[in-house]
Amino acid sequence: MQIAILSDIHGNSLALDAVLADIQSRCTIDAYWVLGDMAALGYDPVGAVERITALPNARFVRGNTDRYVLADELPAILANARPEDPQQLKAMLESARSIAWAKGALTATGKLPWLAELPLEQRMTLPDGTRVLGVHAAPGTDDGPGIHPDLSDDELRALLAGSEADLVFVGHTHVALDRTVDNIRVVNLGSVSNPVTSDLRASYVLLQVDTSGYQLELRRVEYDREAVIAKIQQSAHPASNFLIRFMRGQQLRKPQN
Amino acid sequence: MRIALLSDIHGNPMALDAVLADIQAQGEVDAYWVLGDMAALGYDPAGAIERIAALPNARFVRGNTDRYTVSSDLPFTVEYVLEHPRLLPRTLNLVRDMGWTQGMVTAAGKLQWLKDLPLEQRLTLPDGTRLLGVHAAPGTDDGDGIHPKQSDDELRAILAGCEADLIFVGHTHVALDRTVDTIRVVNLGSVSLPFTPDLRASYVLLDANTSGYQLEMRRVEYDREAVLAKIRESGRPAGEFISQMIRGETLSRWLQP
Repeated sequence: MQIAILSDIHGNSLALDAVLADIQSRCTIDAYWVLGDMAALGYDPVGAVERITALPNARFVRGNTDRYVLADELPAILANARPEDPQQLKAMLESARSIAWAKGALTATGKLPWLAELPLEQRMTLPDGTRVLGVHAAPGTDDGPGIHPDLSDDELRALLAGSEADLVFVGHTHVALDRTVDNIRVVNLGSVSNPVTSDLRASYVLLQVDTSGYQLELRRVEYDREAVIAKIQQSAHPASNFLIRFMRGQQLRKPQN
Repeated sequence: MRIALLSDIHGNPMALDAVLADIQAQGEVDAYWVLGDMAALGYDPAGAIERIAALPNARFVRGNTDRYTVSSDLPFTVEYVLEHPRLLPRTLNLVRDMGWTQGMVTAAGKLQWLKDLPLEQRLTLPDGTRLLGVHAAPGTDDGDGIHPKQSDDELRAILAGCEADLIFVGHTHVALDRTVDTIRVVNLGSVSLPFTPDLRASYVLLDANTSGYQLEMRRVEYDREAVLAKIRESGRPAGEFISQMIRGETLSRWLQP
């Protein structure tokens, strides 16, 4: 059994197509897990949702931006921003408009109800008994700091406590990671789109399973980011300049501790 | 010749359908003029555009909210919001509405149609009357518009240099018919979002021949409860913001003592 696990597509159909082509060129896939942030903060929310809903044997979980689209929310950092600061006010207004834009596009094409039904997590037990959990940010949540490289073992242990899983897949931070604390292995898939690391390629994981165990492969896939930039410009997305910064590697993550 | 003139449809096809049915019931018209604010602040922006774009012999002008939908413009600048923090909730409602409308209209393939709307329309009637149609006031799609609190001198200044004898505007959602010097200016009121105690849709029928012209301001009832239900069903952001206007809870400041 082989499962392709991806996340953080962010309405980038070109990057998603590259990942799906890579998956399909390599092996027979039995199932797909898509771990949230499907539509918002990209030029083509509808195309991304159409592609993933057409995948056979696919499981999905909700990302924080999927929830923002549904509930007209802002990221916490902006919801709590100081509106007396010009830059923060501009970012707040741009983000609100950007989230609403994705909602309008998904509403016009009848995709919003699909987004509304995404669950928080997926669980499965592999043939060797490994209990797998898929969730967007961290066990029990689609938001917050997520599972990121600056967490100490103790911090990570606290986040994974009570997860009732042996192998946890997350996304959210856009930073790929593979760590084990105690007996729990946690794998951050990175992201299909909107990279925040110096490697701007899309990333995803292939999980190969049989009765004796499992193997993981983190794959990196190149795609035409200049073509994505052109699509963003054509789309007149309300946060076009922000999205283009990701494509140019200008939104690199800073260490959090 | 007979022309139906309407404006400020604001993504409300139910109100628009009632107006179009009333126009049909009055007999044939030779042309339609639609004076802006087609899509934003309603439950079905694309449906409104589809209906008016399908009208025979129709001329259109751009309203300020059409411009807000296709650009990042707002009625006020970010700097103004910084100086007037009480505007923040209203500003968030507006950017969410404009983003949602833009997403809807983009997904329906109508964004370019909205972008291409001209500022004004002009026509000379058979009796030589020079007609001007513009959303707010001569030369502009925004601002205070033509409203009942303006003095004759203020109105004279606004109409100076417009090179027209008969001017049709919308924008304020308050119907008006005034003449200063030899210039007659008619505010159509609005199809949707009434800002007057009379909550019906309003529009104007213009009958013209070689000996002169006649105007009839018409009022059309429609099912506002059904519109409120559509707003709720749409799941759109800022739904309560729009619903207040549909319920007539937003009396124009030009009507307040």
